[in-house]
Amino acid sequence: MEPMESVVRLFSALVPSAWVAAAAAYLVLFVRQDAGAERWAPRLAWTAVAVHLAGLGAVGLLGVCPMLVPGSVVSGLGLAVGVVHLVLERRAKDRAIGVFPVAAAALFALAGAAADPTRRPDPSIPHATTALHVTGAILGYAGLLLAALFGALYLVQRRALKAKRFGLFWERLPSLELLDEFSSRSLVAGVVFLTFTIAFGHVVRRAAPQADSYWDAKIVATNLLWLVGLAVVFARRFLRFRPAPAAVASLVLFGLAMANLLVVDVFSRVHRGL
Amino acid sequence: MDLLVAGLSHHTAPLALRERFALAPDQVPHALDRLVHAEGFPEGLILSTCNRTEIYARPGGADAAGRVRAFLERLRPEIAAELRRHVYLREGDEAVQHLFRVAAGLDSLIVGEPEIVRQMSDAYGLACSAGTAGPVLHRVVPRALQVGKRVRTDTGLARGIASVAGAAVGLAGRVFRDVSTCSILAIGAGETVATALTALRPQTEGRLVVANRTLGRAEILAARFRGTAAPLADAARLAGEVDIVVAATASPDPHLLVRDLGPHVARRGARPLLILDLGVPRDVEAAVGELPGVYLHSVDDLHSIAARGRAERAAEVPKAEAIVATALSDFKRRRRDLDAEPAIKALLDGMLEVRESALTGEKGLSAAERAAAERVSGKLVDKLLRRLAPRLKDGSVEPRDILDAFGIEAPEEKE
Repeated sequence: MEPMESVVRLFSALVPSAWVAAAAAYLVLFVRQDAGAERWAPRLAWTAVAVHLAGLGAVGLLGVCPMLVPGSVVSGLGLAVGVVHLVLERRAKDRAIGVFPVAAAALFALAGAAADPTRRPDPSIPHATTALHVTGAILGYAGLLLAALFGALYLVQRRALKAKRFGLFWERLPSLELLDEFSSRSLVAGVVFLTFTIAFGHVVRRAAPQADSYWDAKIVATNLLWLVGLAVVFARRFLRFRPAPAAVASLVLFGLAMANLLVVDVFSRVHRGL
Repeated sequence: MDLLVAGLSHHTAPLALRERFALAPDQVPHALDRLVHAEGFPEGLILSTCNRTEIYARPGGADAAGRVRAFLERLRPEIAAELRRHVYLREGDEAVQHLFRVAAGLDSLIVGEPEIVRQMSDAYGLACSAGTAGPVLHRVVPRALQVGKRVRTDTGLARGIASVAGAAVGLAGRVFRDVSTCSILAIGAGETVATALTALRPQTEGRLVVANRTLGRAEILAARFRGTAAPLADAARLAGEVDIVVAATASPDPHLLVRDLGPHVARRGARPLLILDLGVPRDVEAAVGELPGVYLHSVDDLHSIAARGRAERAAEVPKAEAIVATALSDFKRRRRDLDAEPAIKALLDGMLEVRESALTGEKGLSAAERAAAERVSGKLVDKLLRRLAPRLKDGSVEPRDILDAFGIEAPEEKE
């Protein structure tokens, strides 16, 4: 085994560990509002981001684009979720809900670590455009995931207020308006990145020696997902679509996105080479 | 510790008496001046809030308790007889413990409330500016403020919502991203609405409209809280325009009905509407809470939030008391160390003087014998002091007794 491969394998263990440590600190903060946890949770999360980026860099030093290695792609989704949340957290100055996105980042990092971190992609794939296509998909899915996450938290807070259940979630979760704003912005970002993903996917498809049919399950499902996302964004912006149904729609969209990511590929030829 | 505290608080006196006895910040310097220059207390500080008025002073003379009681009565001679029944007095370590507990919020009406730290800090600032804070207060008050801060950071005593007013603000904070931009509609112009506005209005800069059956009363309340008045008939329309509605009227029938409010709410789009119905019987039809984007809460809900917060804080009281107890024993130990230091110094000087006179009396010693005698006597003094010092510091031996036994003059008492 090459020394660099050992480094990559070491990082594939370090990255999920760093995210799990950050998620644990955020959990302590959520449950106990501990002053120490409030200081340490974001520091640990930013450390996880740094370790994650170093891990991706190590994969790059193997001569492989990380965005073409399945393990890096899955954990990259966690990285995107974590970074976007940390940026939002800094803007909103509210660390109470960090446990949810950081735990999601930890889950994706763990799932990514299960794959072989040194697997090399099919040499016939056009690397540059495919990497852009995958990066767009990661950011798009991260946007949809955060939209669903904040949407779910919106529904939890709304239920607490409507049902007058003044428990831990009511006390810790931020305002309905903030959750709604985060959810709708994440959704917009997700749809924008999906647009780029589809565009780059089209370029990759045309460059392939034998282009797949436009009626391939993956292409149809992704286009439908994008259309539904666009419809929700449009309805929110122009048709006074209320926050609660929009939150439900963001959950449905994320469910569709996961189905598209995990199930549709079985019936598709498009991603066979990856 | 040379400290005493005398005063009255929500534990001992009704609100009506506390209101009459409270001192405004501009009255405090004059009262401090009288306490120190007319009553003969070397140091003094006055802490006056809506829940307590207390005099912290260094006794400095005989019958300090009687003098401070007399001072309190002279502050408000018209209620002197009433005061006598409600004033408490604590001296020495009990006074220090009381100060620490007050700073920690353990003695507050709403346990853990944060205002008291600022109020104590302001009172200390006034005493410093008036020149009535001396060594004792400079030592004890900053320590009390540290204890207050530590209790709030290391325990959950100040967390959560523990008052009905806080619950109203807390609910607004769970609905709106920025409460400061919220606009308010008050339905009714009575005391309940005024109390709610007292809690909400300082947090908001949006417009305030007071709708009431009698426009004159609405105008009076609106003027008090920087708002405008409107007739009660406009309530439903106005409710559709604002962010928060506070309702409390004496009417037996509700003023906000689904059929009136529904169309206005439908036009609001995504903007939520928080309604605090504080009236008994209710002023808002219960079905209004079913409208999308409308969050309707009653006075019972506010009480339930506050009760939950109070219960959570009560669970933290033992931890806070432990911090206060540790801080007090630490403070007492340091204080004893400081108290013992002049006595130890006087004892050392006295022993060295005895040694010197003994050595001077020995005329027939050679240089080598003198050097040996100096060395041995020096070690003897050192060993004796090393054995005595810890006992002087921990209070098991009174410094004055030892000094008397050796015939050494006691150092001048300093604070």
